[in-house]
Amino acid sequence: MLKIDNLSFSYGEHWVIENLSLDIDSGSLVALLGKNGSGKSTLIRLILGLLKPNSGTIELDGMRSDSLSFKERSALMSYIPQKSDTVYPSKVIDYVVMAFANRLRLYSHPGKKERDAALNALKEVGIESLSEKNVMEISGGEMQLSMIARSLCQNSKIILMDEPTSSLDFSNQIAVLERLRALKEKGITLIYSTHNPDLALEYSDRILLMKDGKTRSVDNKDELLDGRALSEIYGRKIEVKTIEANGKKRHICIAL
Amino acid sequence: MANANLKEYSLQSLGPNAKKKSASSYLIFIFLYLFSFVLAFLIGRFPISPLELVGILISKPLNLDWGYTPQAISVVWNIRLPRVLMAGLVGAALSLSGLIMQTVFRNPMVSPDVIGSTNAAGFGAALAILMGLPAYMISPVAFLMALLSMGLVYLISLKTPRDQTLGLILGGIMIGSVFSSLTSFVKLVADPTDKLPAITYFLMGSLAGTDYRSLFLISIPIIIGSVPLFALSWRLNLLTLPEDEAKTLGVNAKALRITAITLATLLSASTVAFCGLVGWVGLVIPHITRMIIGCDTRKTVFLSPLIGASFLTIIDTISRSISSSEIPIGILTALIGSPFFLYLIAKQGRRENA
Repeated sequence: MLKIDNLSFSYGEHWVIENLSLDIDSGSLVALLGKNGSGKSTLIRLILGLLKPNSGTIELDGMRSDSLSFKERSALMSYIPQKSDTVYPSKVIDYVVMAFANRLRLYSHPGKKERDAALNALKEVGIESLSEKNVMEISGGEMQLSMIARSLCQNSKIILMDEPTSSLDFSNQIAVLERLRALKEKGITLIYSTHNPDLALEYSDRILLMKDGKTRSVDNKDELLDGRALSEIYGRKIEVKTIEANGKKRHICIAL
Repeated sequence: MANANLKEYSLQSLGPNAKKKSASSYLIFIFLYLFSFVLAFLIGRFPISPLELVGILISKPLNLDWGYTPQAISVVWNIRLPRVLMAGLVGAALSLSGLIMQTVFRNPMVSPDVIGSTNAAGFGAALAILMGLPAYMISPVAFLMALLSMGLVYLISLKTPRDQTLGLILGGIMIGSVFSSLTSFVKLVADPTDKLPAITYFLMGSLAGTDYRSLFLISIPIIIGSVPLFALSWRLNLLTLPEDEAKTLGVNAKALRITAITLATLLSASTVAFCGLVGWVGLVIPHITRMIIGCDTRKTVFLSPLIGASFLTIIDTISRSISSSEIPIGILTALIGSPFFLYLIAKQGRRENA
């Protein structure tokens, strides 16, 4: 699905990503962990084609990403920023309908078909009642869900998210992550960055640890339970405790 | 900074009755325009009654003799009609231009005059008059200068670290002042007996002396500039998103933005070429439009020019009837526009503190 080969990127002299090679299958849920400035956002922006790598290639569905236009790429991947910085208010439904820009002709406006699809997507993420609300007046979690609905309308196979839960309250974090897990079951590949190792341990099939330009891919999360790799990433001693509540196993990271 | 202020615009147009509401807004403003259109004929040094107006407007093209004096027919058809239509066109073009700039620059505080584009067009027009170019050449020269200034301002805003909005506005003020000093230089070297007064009066902004020929000439760039913008209106909504988001939605944001800015510049520069500097309309009218109907470009792209046309028609009527000699229209729009701009800033300040 997504194949990254020998990718390197630097801001001037500062190498953020060095010789990264990675294969991500469809239907996987991938979490990026690392300190601020470790290159999580940079990697997401590279995959999206918003930044150009110094060297290396990215393949999507067997096609070289840099040979595709933004329009072609948008059919394969969608992007959910940390926060949508809209200047002018619009209705949630109008915001979601924007996903059809890559399929409508230049001068066309979205019609009933597109609106219905957008409403369905809102229903799927559970916020169809907000469709006529102003995007500036809904909560951060509802905004994230609106953006997920927009991604669904984009009909892309890969969704990339920059810290989707960082500005959400606890219950909204869980609501959004549960939604991601449900999408994964439908075969969508999801890649998100996060500052919360507990949530990453719970909601992922695979974790990428990023530090000083090096990226380590952890496929078996049990490897992280001794806390050594996490301690190294965050630069302080971290212990991972496993607890059980209501028959569910949870991992909790404790900084010592 | 703008977000807090804009929040309240939207409330008026969102909700289940939005569709009905926007239809009725169009109707109200179509009536307002018709009202200002009729009013503009009735007021003036040569009084014409509403009944006479209708009679003359109907009888002349049908070649009927309903007994109106040739003088009255001439006032309606040769003097007031072209002028009233010109006021409407100029008001519409400036309002649409300002709306588009506010949309694609993602900033409700910009307009063709705030970011120096009309100053540059004014310099182009002054230069064309100085060089004795024929009247039809004023427009292209003004457009080229305006386009040059927009290119410079856009580059400055891209190169500004962190706050592109600040770069845009400060860059615009700077480029605008460069062009207005160039205009002063043109005035300095202009022949003080004929060209200097011509340039000075021209730049004050006036619709006096409008005839069918100028009406025809200005309508060409206005049609070229506005029709694609009407057609692109939905897609322009995507430019109000951050650029990265627009790109990942599959929009060629850069190309679309440059196209829209070029068309908006064509609209404002052509008004400068025919009527001089008519400031503030492009800033104020789009604001009023969003307060009434919300921010969806599909709607504002029609309502903003409609309100602008009514506004300038009324202002022009005032400018030619308030005193014994005509007041240049640019003076009046600035007198009304700048306090309104200050009001917007003050309102934002209050909301940020609140």
